Amino acid sequence: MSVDAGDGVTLAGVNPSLDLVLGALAEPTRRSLFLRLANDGPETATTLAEGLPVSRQAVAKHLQVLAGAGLLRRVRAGREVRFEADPKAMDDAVTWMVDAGAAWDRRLDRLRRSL
Amino acid sequence: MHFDSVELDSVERSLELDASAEQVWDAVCDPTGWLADSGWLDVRPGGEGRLTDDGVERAVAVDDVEEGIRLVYRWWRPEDGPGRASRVEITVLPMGGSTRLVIRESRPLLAAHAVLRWEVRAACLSMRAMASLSPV
Repeated sequence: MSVDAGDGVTLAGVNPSLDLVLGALAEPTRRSLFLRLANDGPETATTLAEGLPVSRQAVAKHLQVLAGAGLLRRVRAGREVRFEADPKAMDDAVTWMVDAGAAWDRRLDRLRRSL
Repeated sequence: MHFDSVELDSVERSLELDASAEQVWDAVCDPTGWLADSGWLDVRPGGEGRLTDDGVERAVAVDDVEEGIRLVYRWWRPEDGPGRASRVEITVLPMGGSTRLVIRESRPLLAAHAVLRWEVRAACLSMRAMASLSPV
């Protein structure tokens, strides 16, 4: 299951999905889990928990939050569920910045012409 | 596209204009001349406004005005409410002949995430590379 974080991206800094993304990444364990999956590729909750001082259950909970923010996808292979980082959510996270920047470029162009 | 500042929760632009600080300030205070396509704004502390730019309507609340130097306001889409406002700070700096205009739009929601910015940014770059998207 993956949550689509792609909608609701707007110009004025109003982006609920971005809030979810940043909220999910605000917790250090989740952040390191996400970065590990982003850098090293898909892994199971069990494998991820092995190198960490937290239980598999705690890791599973963190992964659920990350998946809820659209940062991870669950990929089923037989009986195994692996978690995979989803670049789309991060792409959405930069959308506000890019859109707001483009809007300011347009406004500043108008200002320059008005002088 | 050029970014003066690369942070997820703020956008900054800075440009030098071939005009006096007074001229630039006057232009800044005429929102429909540049800030928006239509609407109105009462440029004084506590002033309010409604601006529509590129089809997006925003309610505006002016927080601070330092005459000739600085305008600070929040704006938000009415359907989202002021809780989701972004903050805009416009600064006019005389440069001896020309004038520098600095714009910063930020999302107050994320003010507590200063450390996170860089890790998110690193993750962004890493993931964008993975996805073979063009770099920001």
